[in-house]
Amino acid sequence: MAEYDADVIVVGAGGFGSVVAQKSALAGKSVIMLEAGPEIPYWKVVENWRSSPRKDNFVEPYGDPPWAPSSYTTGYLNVDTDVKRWPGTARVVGGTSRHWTAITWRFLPEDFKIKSNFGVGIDWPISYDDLEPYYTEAEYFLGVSGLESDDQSGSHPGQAYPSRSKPYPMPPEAKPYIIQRMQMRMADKGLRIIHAPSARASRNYDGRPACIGNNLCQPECPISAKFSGLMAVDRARAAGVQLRSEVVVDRLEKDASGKITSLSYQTRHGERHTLKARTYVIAGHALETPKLLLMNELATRSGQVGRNLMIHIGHLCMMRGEEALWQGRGQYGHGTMMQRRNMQDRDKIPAFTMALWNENYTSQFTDILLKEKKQLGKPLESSIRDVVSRTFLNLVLSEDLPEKPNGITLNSNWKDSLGLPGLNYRYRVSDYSKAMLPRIQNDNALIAQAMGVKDPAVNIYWMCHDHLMGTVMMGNDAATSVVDKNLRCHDHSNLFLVTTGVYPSSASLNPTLTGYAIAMRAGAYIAAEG
Amino acid sequence: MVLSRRGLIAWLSSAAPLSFMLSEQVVAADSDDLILKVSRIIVGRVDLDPGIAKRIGEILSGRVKVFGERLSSLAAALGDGKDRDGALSGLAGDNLDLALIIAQPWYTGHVGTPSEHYQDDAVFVTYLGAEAHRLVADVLPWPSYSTGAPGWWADAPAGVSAPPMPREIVDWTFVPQNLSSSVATAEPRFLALVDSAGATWK
Repeated sequence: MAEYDADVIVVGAGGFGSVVAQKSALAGKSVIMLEAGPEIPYWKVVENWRSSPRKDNFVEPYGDPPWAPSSYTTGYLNVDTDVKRWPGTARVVGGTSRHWTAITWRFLPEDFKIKSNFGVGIDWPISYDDLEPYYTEAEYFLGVSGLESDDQSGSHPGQAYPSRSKPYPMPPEAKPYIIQRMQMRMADKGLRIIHAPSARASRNYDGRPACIGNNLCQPECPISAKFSGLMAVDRARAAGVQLRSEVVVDRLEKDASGKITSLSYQTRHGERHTLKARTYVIAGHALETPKLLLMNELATRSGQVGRNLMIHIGHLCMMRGEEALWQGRGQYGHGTMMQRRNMQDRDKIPAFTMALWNENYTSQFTDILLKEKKQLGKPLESSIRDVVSRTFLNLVLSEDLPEKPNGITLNSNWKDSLGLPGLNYRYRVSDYSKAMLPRIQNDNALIAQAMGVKDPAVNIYWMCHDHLMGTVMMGNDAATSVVDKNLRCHDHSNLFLVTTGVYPSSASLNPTLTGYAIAMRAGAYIAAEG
Repeated sequence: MVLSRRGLIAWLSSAAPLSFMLSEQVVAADSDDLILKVSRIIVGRVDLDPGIAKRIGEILSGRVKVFGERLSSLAAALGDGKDRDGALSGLAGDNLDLALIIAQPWYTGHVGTPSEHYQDDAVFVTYLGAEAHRLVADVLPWPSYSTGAPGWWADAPAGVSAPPMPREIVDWTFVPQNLSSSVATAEPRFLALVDSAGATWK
């Protein structure tokens, strides 16, 4: 009987876990990948979305199995927060980077060293230069459309920044009319709109067609122009990785030295199986990864497991301008404003970015008109066209700092169908985050001024994005962090955590490309281990 | 990313919930015909799908108190519908409320108030039958059903006369000549427009 069932076992078949699994398999290692959720084909996700009344719930189309609850499953998260929502996660083969918007910014060199540069937050144990080759690898893996000549920092005008070793694999998609008009009208206010790079094909790429503007980037692109975590899974399988889905890993055993000796999982029906491997990788996003550690009292030395949750505190401002722009033509995200991304006062005011959101909200706006204006007939139909044509959304995404009280703990008062606990989720908006409000309002007012807005805007203060970071932070010091710069647990030499949960700081932009980059880096490291 | 942006809708809608109530009332046997007749006047189309009308009637009969009686009352108030605008603008009170309740699934494709999660009273009715999408379909593709070629969205929308712009505006590298080097300070009257948390479109 073999000593090990596999060289590497990966828990969590999302995009990041699949990258690590693929790299290990290509290096000749035997790999088993375990996933709690089901496997759902692309078409089924789209059809589920079409036939749901909850068009803003991008988790629901992936199902809500009782053995693999998601952050939106009723009761699974015991939420304690002053934020108007909490991040949605998908437990499914392919993971949460199936329902992502596919916006793929790189973090800036300054973002990795926020403590050194600005005196707040925590530095990463790696630098931008350490990660740059993996950013490039990730961009080609995902198939990113972008413009390399842009200053993406807002702080290096006229200069391509951050630096990069290769151009984007694809040029940008066409610029929507709404962006053209807003660019023209907002320029004299100092608001510059640049292209938002994304893992949506602008031409045929690696078997994917170019985007044709279905305007359904979430929960899943109907024609697979967008990169999906399921594509990463397929690449891992093609490399020889064995995937087992609908199995929930809940136990890890360790020896006296701290090495993990086995893990076991339950099938959806509660049958238990145990596996042994040389190396174990947990890639269960930033909620399930710390949960598994907490359930098994692992990585306890620093006391940081589950803490320092960051969720990209944001703000939404919906305005109605004087000209018909028709938000909803093209993709969800095209243009972003970067002037506030890297200002010198980041010690006092958080970095933030502003994205002009381009989702078709016809149905949602109509709901509001029916319920608030109580219109019917021609007045209603006229209002629908008027509101849909002239309304636009500005989304703010800001850098929040790691704070120990924000995070998750186990909630034994709630159990899933396998008897596993729920989570207590706690997040409070910090005074640091609140300090950005005057600046956000100024910039929204400038947009209103530029676009001829006459009516009060609709605001949502303190919302967040589907971004989870910080719950199993990386660092050089085992006393203050959970994993080292290679994502190896300080306390367990054969256990790696590959998740955005390892981020010591959040920057002010979508975290997924960076997640793929650190997965590439950790995957190469694990694959090279003897 | 997000939208949660998506939370907006549920948040706004919760400010003025419709008063759905469970009903134990028996719906009139001819309510299928009546809901279709009333719906034709509310939506202004004679080619409405009878199957969708039946589904709406079934859903609402389980949610709206004394639905059958109220539907009959609404039908009487609407008359023959030949003067649709006049009939609809003349509705008030219970009849107006019920007409809005019936209009919701025809225009949006669902009944109730959808949330971002699962705990809500929302029920799916139709996607491709949603009138609101049809009303803007000359400009906005039904989400997930685009028939255009890549990049069609760069052109001015149908029916929109684009103001003069430099030809290079379609290029992402284009920088407007009047781009200011620093972010301006907004005028107070516009600050007042954007600092109102929870403002609605009333």
